[in-house]
Amino acid sequence: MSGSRNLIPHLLMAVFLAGGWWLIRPRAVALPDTGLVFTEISAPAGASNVHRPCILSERFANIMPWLTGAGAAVAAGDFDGDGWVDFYVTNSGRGVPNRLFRNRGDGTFTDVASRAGVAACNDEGATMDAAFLDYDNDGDQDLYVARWGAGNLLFENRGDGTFRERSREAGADVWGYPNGVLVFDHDRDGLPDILLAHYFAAEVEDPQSGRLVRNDLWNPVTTRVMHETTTSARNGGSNVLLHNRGDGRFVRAETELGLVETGWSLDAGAGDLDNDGWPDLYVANDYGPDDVYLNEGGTRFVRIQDGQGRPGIGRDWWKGMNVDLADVDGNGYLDIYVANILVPGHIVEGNMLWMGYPDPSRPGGVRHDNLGEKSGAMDGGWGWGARFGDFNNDGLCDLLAVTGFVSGVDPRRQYWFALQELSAQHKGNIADAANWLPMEDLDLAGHQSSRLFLQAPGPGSRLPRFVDAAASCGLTDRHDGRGVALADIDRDGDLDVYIANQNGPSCLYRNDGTPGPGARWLGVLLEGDPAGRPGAGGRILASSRDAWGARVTVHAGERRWLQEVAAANGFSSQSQNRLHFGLGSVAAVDSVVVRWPSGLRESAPGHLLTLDRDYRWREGRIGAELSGGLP
Amino acid sequence: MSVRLRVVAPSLRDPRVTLLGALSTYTVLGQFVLFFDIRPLELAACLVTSGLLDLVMTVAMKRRLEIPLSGLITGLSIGLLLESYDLRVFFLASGWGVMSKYLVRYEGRHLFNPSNFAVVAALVLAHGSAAVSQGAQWGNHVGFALVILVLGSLMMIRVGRFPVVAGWLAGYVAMGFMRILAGQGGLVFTLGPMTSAEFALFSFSMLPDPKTSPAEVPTQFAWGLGLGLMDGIMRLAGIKYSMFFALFAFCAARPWIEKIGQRLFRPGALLASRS
Repeated sequence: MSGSRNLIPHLLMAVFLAGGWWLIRPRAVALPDTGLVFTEISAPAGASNVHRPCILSERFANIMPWLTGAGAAVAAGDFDGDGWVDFYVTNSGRGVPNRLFRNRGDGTFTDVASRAGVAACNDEGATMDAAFLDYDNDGDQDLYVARWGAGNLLFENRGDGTFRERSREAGADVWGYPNGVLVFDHDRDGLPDILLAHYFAAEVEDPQSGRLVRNDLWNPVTTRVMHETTTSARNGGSNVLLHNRGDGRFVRAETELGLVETGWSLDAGAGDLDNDGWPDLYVANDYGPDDVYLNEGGTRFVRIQDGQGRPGIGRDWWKGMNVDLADVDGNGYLDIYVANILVPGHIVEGNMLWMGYPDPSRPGGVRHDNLGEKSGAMDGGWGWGARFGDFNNDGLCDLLAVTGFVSGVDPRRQYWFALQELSAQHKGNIADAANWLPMEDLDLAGHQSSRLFLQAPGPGSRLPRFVDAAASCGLTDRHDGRGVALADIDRDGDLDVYIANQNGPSCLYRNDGTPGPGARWLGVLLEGDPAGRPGAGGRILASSRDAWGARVTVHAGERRWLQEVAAANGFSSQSQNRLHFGLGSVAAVDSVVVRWPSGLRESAPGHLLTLDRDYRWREGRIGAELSGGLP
Repeated sequence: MSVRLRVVAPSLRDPRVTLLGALSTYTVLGQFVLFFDIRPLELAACLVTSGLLDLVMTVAMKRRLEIPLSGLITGLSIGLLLESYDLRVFFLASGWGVMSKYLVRYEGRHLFNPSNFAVVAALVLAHGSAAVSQGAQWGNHVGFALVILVLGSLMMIRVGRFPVVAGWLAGYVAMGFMRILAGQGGLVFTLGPMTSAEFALFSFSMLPDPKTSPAEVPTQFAWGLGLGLMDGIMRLAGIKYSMFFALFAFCAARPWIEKIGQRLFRPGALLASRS
């Protein structure tokens, strides 16, 4: 009898445990019938690249896969001005050429990098990221290539399909460890500027002399080059802002503008967070809190801090990888998606979706709440590049996030234990690469699949709800994704996807979704007028030719869609510059409004616009040019 | 039939008061100085669940109304150690921890340290949505961790559980050298975790729980030593969070270990208790 009395509490405990287990079990989510199909065509289309990583000094052999876990980047741009989007795809291995895939307009591509003069970027250093920009506003796309351990490269487009390298004379040959290239016009002078998100510090202390010397990871003076902590490291590289002077030269301006933090930055995104017309910055930092800067009239950036002096717009998860911005819920405020890490049982943090809301009590009058978990967009695995886009043209902003860090030979043989042992130690121990256990061919969050977070129509709720539909839509590769570019490669009115995979083959997914009455769309390619016009106080404001920072709002009935020209947002990514608006089932739009960086506001009435086609919109020439469409 | 409820005021001599003070200081420091980045909502979830449940269970089972010191210690420990994106995990783990104290008992004593039970249960049952926080690191100076080790050891002497901690540390260090010999890293990799906040919480809060660790001094040392050895074997096998799992196992085996200890160290006492 007493035996059964003893048993009852134990059974009760078992019931509690089982009940809790059942209560928090993952819920199976029913996939909506999206009608969306992606077909991987990189090989038949001739746009395939097998990324080769860089190899650093033998002194880092134990953690080489970790240290060289980035560098696969993709930039979309129309370098030859034929109206078809081309791709610049990077390699990082010594001597391995980068690729420039020219879009032939028939669904195939040709690698013209050598002929164009932009292939040989890895003869020294290692390419990490690249971006197209028309830095001299001459109407063609120039190219900026960011490298670890060698000066960055600026290629000027000659206009004949070839490029001329003029990094040094342009003052753009910054040396360091950049992982992100962000193009934006910080002071709205009509000249695109470049922000370089730096990872490793450019200098380290030489243990022999005690002096600061160049941090050369190919010929290191020390192995103490890693992050000092996993939660608040500030021993990374200084970010660099290259201010475009307009005379063909750039000057460094990060210090005078207040961008002085030294986090381990992987990416930066630009967008007008507080709706004051000036592009603000979100800098995603690894191993520490992200930094958010509000732009004060193009004269300086002010870093947002909470009452306790913590940086950022809220509690983040310290492993920021990627930044993209969009107005997900159509409330007129930009929302921010920041990739992070969620690997069940190991790191349970997740990507952040910072939704913007008006709040006069906050800096800039805007508050951001992280609704990543509630919206269903949190589980991005070991996240890297991620971009907003409406892939099925249903009028709802979706998300594509690529994942996976290091795919080992056998996924069951993992590096997690070694990482946990070091991460838990007091600050400093982790900073010495020599203390790390050999990674060999172990797996660390590898073999993951991309996430295609499709936004599901909500029943009147303002909270967006996402469902991962990657598998059912054909995004099935399990390579270690890094960069992701969205572009309509075949000009059929939907967004196709190029994914640059680390140490593996890239993927080009053609969007073969069936267009229907509920999938209307509109494409807008802006062309700014760099001549400028007087703004407040007589200051001359202008738009760059690529219209970096211009804001387009499409109105249809009660709904509105807002996008900004910020193609270079996103880790190792640059999407097409043309804005693509999925409009769902609307029969027509009421108006399209452009807020140019010059301050000019232009509005096109809906009757001028036919849906399901692309338009080129030249600043100040709306009546004459708008109806012409793209070439 | 009426049952009188005794109201019990806390005594400053109660070692739980000291421990709660230490943990509270630690939490405040972590929040404002050491950048633990503990989310207040999660900490509150743990404290409220553990505190309230402990209060209710004490009233229901012991007819005593007292400040739930044990519950608050459990809540603080869980809040500091656990990480999850799912707030429900913190409520559940706290509930599991406190309930284990009242439901999983042997010979009048609860078997498991509630915080340890909560952490292990969350790691095993939360479908991968729980982990031990990486976000609890000390400042830049290893000296800070050493101070904690010394102060913690002094506290253990006061509560009569120093042999447990001494045995654990001896076992841990011994296995650390064994792991080096076996090729699993150098001194920093194997012994460096001793400088972590997680290690300090474990060693001075969970491990020396007077109710769940052996009472006799030689057995205390042997129990701690064995635990350290088992933890080292698990680490050698690449098992994460090994010390929490090892303590769980050693708490479950504690009654038998005590009996073996009595047989080995005090055979006379065992015979007397049998007669």
